[in-house]
Amino acid sequence: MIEFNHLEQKTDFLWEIPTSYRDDMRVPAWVYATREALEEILQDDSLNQLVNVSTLPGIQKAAIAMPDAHQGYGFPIGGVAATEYPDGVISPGGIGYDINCGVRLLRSGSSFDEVKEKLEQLSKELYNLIPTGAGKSGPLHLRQTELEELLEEGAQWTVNAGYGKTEDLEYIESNGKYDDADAGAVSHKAKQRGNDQVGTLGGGNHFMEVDRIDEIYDEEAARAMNLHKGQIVFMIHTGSRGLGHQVATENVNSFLDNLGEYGISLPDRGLACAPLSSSDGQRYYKAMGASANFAWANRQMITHQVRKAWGNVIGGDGSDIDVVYDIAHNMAKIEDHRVNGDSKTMIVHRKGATRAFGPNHPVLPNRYKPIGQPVLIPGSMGTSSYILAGTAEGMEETFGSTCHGAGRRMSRTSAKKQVNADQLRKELKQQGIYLQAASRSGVAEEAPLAYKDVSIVVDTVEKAGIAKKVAMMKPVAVIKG
Amino acid sequence: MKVIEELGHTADKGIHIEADTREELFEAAVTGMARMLKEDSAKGKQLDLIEKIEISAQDLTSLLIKFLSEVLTLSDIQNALFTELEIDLLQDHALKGRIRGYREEHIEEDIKAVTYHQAVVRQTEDGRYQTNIIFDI
Repeated sequence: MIEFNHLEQKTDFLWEIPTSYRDDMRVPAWVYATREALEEILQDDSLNQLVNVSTLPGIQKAAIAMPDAHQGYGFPIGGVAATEYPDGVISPGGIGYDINCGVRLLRSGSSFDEVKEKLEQLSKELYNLIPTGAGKSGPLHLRQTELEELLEEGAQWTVNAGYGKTEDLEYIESNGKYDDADAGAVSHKAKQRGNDQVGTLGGGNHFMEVDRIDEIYDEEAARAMNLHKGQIVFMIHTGSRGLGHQVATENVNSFLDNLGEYGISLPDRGLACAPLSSSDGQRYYKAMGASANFAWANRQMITHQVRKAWGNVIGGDGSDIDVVYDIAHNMAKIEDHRVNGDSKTMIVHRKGATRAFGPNHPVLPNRYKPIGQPVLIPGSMGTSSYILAGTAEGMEETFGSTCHGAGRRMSRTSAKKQVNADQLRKELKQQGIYLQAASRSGVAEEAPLAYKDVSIVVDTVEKAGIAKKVAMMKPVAVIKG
Repeated sequence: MKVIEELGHTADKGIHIEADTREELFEAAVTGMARMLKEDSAKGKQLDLIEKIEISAQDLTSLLIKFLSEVLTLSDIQNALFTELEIDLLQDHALKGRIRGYREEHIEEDIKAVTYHQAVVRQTEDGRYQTNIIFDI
């Protein structure tokens, strides 16, 4: 078990477990955290998992944990690991079961004061239009050919089908389409699970929020994002639903069955992997891409539903609601990064971590090139969320990566015992937050007291230089599964 | 005698299961997962939905996890809860049988996956079988 004295402090916010800690480490393990947060991180298995990640074949520079790191499956959540392209491994545990779980931020043309009398009605309309919770079907029931097109086209499919604007796509990571996706790599069972789930939130910690921009920290960056104080914005947090979960589960099992073929021995089954260049690696990679496309298509469909709800309650057709940005926080991407001064192509795994490219990166939309990529960090229901931007320092230090949110500090079982859902709903309403939820137990499990303080996480990444704060927003309506 | 206890896991949910035989352990796993999906699963319900199950794996623990994953998949595809298992064959590497359940519109928990985390089927000193199973929520 890792203890405090195994870590070497490199800066105020960066700690290293050197390769001398364990014989099988190929690179050191780095943790971005304050001293206090590190002591909390050491309470669970996160850093043992991070050391395990450092043993992966082809891993480059360091296995990295963000300040919101907590125990996951194989990889810690809040973990980043880059392996050498094309023969380094790809590991589903480094992406997560919910492939392309991510966050989309939309902005309206209205201020809180202009619409506050209608917010409760808006929250109900959003709840009516956006299916939430386990086992709920969405507005589309796709034929096999339609689903397969969607799996290869992503958000572009949804826009072409009439559910969005072409300009939405520019403001999504990868323009909402993973080019290396292959619908043929996705099993029949995964497709069966996904064919009626486009346009659904799911349950657990997924949500949709109406927020008010409460504070601006960086005027230039906020202007580039067309954000201002008092503005109404929307956050959508969901992923690839049952289709992505099925792809991840099937490939974890398949990789475990075939490990011997690649001469890989693992300290933890959750790190099941294969060289990206192998047939197993390629099949998972292409299925992962297809699942990522499903998630982007899903968030695009929900965007359409938000516009519809807004039009029904506030008026107009919702066309003044625009995409600020859409980020993935469970993903692997092929990217070029500098290691020891040389540019190398790598497979960057981010599990519960967000891509945060710095200024002037060629993949960014033109209006964001001067300021860096927007990064969206949700808090818990009832607490603040943050908009950040990527930095040049982050590109050098963490493969252009940063945190994704706050981890839990309390189990779901404990939260259900301590929190009365009806009471919480009343308290939130007194704070001016309207809550619509599919299940009372879900509300209790996701109560704010069950989560760590996201502002500490955000302050740490800013002080470490791997992202900068742009704005803070507070919820005015929450829709949950 | 089968034991199914809920585990306190910070981020997700889990169960600890114990039974006198391997067969009963697998039965307890199905019932335990159903309770995670919906607290009062199968109460007063007619189990008229039956699905054949055939799983192979490298060892008994992997067999259990793969089996529960398949049950979860079928639950999602059919909007159903499967609460019972009837076994025709159970070896270290193979399981054949049927799961029984019912259509359920109001699943309470959205389980993303059955994980391998903490899953180790082992026998205690008194010969009982046990393991933890953690579900990704």
